[in-house]
Amino acid sequence: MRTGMRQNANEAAGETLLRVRDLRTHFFTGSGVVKAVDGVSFDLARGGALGIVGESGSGKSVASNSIMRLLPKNGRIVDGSILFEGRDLVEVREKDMLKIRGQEISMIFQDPMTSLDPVFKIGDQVIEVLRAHRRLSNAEAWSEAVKALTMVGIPEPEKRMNSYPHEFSGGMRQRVFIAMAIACRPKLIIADEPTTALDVTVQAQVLDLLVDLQREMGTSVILVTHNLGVVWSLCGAVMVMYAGKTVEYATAKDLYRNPLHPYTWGLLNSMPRLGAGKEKGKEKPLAIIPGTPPDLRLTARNCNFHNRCAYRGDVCKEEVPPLIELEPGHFAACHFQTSGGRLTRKEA
Amino acid sequence: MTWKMSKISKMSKMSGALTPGGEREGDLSGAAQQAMILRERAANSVWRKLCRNKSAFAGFVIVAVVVFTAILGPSLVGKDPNKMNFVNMYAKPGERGMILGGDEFGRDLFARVVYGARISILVSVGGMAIGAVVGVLLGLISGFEGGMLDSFLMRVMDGMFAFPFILLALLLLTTLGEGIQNVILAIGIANVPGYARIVRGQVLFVKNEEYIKSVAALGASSVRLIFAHILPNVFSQVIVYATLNVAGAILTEASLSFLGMGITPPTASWGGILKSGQDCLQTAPHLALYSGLAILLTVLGFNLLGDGIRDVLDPKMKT
Amino acid sequence: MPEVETAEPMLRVERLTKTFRIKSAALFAPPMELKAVNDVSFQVREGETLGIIGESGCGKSTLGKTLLRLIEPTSGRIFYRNRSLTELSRGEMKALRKELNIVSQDPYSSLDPRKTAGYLIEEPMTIHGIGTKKERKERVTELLNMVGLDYYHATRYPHEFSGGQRQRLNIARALAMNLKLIVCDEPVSALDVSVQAQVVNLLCDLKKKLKLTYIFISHDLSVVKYISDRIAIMYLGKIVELGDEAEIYAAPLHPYTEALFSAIPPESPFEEKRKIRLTGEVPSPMNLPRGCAFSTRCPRCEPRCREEVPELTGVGHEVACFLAPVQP
Repeated sequence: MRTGMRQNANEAAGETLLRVRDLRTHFFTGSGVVKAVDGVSFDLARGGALGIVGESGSGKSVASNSIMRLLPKNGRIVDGSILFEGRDLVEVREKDMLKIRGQEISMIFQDPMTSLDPVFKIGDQVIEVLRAHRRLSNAEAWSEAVKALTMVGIPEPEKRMNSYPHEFSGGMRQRVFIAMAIACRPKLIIADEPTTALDVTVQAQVLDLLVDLQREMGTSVILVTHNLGVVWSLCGAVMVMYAGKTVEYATAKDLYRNPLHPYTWGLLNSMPRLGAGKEKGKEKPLAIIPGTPPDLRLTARNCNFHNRCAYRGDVCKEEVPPLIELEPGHFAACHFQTSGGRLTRKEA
Repeated sequence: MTWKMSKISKMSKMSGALTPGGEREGDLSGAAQQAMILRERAANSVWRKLCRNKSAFAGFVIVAVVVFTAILGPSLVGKDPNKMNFVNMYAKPGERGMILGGDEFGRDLFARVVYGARISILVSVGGMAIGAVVGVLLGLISGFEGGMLDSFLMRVMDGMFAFPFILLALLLLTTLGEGIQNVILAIGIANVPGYARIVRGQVLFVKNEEYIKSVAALGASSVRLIFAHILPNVFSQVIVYATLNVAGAILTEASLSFLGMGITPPTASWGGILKSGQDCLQTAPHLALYSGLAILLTVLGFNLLGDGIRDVLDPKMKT
Repeated sequence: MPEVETAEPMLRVERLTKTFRIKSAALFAPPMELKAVNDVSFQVREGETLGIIGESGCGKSTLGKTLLRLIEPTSGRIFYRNRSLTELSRGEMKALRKELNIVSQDPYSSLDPRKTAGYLIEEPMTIHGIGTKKERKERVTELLNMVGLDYYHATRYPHEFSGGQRQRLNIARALAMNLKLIVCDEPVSALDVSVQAQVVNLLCDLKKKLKLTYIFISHDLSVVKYISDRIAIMYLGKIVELGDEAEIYAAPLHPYTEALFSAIPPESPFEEKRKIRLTGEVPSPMNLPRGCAFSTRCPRCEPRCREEVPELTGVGHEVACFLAPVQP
């Protein structure tokens, strides 16, 4: 990185809760080193919401799992730092990490069908999380759990404490899971594709809930998703990932108004728009990004996007572009987007 | 109808680099990517994985040695396993030029154990094959057709299961009479329900897979569905079961011979040697010891190999 | 049902119903009935794309499969070019599968993992005995090119392809025959946005080139809107609104359609959504509400809605709601 990130991209006034710098998580497999995360940097303000956007295989889930240090045996954080309230989570001992998980940082997963244990009552599952981190009497734990369920909008929470997961619908299960995640009032919630498995009308309900919780409890949120629409409705800041790297990082509004990386252009263009009118039979083809993402065992020698990029030059095949602050709080990693010269975005 | 990788990669070598793929495929040209996929396939091939798995490899070596002995052994021993010589009765191992000593009739024990390997392998593999062919067919039909036929076949299998395995084989042998082909047949028939059950279960799972439905949507016949798509997808399970099953069949053959119902003397079989060794455990323990060791090693070998194949083919089942 | 077109439509569906019988949990209780598709009628004209939208469990996939008799309908009739599909024998249906096919949802599970791409694309031709071996091989290469793959991809196994490429394979496979009508069952839902756009463009191209007719089933409104000429919105096994894509989007008549549109995430961070939030989730299709299926969640529900079932009415733009403004 040529320029250090001085100022946070989201709420400038807010104090930084999480600062990730040049994070690299690699997987060591029989057929080579998979560089799943290979240079991720961003800041997250206290109370802010950041969207991590990328296609499948871009490393967005691995990046968020790295923050929790939940990696399979063959995965390792090989470089970089994760400063959470000034503490580097990369260095923290596993024992202390246990205390951080669930209490200070908690996670919401994609599939509400499988992330709850089917043999325990949901009340017991919420209480278990509470007990793991706080000394509470039976009665206190019970009332805290009811409070958590009330917060996520589960009707008749007292009664539902005794229900089993299979008695809930998908959206309700996701609510229960969110209740478990917020039970200990964490400072940061990482939501990994929390609404992907849900229907649109239910997705809208869950997103509203997340917005409300963030506002009421002042929790910071990292939302990992492939759906830009979800990001717009919740996040102040966005980080775009491609093939394990941060390619662009800015506030949501800046990113939408003035995207700087060619990959972001492609991503924004390829979304079909509801509003766009069309004449019968003469619809414009959707803008596409040709090709497929590179093999993550072969990256790190050049710009990962060069083979799909319409603006590539020789330098793109030779060097890895650094992440540069091009405008206050707006970072991008492209050889042709520098303080010296800019690309002109072609019409889609 | 086969699409051979090697042919195409030869073609690509002839035409130099394959450019059209480069645009769409990302970093690599078509040829380079093809090479990479070949490399990956090689690295992930069942054989390579098996070699990486130590215990499976050990099992493979044991099995290879036993099979090798069964095929070539008799010509290497150069002694008649049935030639009696009362001078050599109960000779100790190493005495009178007999590596493993002599048996109750003074026959060369080493030659008998080596010839016994041939019988063991023949009977167990033969029994496995009969059981597998019939069982797999029944399982496929039962699982695919379902309904009354399935219920009927599975109840019959349940009935066979309810019989203790040895008892069933004994019953069959009593009806069929002794002799090696009947031993194979008996073991084969007794093995059928195991295969049928396993295959039926797998078929029930596979036939509901999306890809089977999509072939059906193309208008494919049941025969095509069963043999071109379902069978290849349940086959790995069959191989695992069959390997473990051979170990069981070796034990069965030995038990039958031990009970005097299997291979008729004077033909050498491990179970038969073991039986004769039983009478003289005090005076000549080597008889029971070496035949028992042969059984133990072979069964161990097949079990290790079977477990190894299962780990390789289905990593999820690993505990 | 009022006839709009004078020409006979390619596909005409009349009062199609599919009921599944579910064993109840209690030992001797009678099996419960699940009406996955409930009295559905519509038409598809040659060369058009009909989009079918709905949330999970609304019966849209069952409808797609029932249309091709991959699931046998319980009642109702399906006419394809004036032939009643429901009355065809198995053999006749098999022959017709050359013209009707389905591209299914999950590119990861819809291809046999133990067969090469070449085998899979050639298979439909083998099944129907089209061409000689050599001709079939040539056709495979042609098809691979048509969907944007290369001849050497024929030797690969499905797991060696990316998700988008697998969906291309699926499409190539469907096109191997002389196809007229394709039911696309969530063909792009499992794909990333940029890849999704590639596949959607491919489908649009092929439609123009080969004069195909699509029934495009999806829960993704923006994709359906992009690709379809007409849209049907399903809720709990019934079509609640059916009409021209632009008309429905501009002026949805059914309250469910309205709520569905307002639930789509915004398209920019500046967009303020008009919010119509439905409470609760879709009720179980095993015990449908007595009146209108939507009455339990409808913000505008009236007493009448809880008693009577509204019929799909209107000309051109049809809607099944008592409260919808009367069409001219």
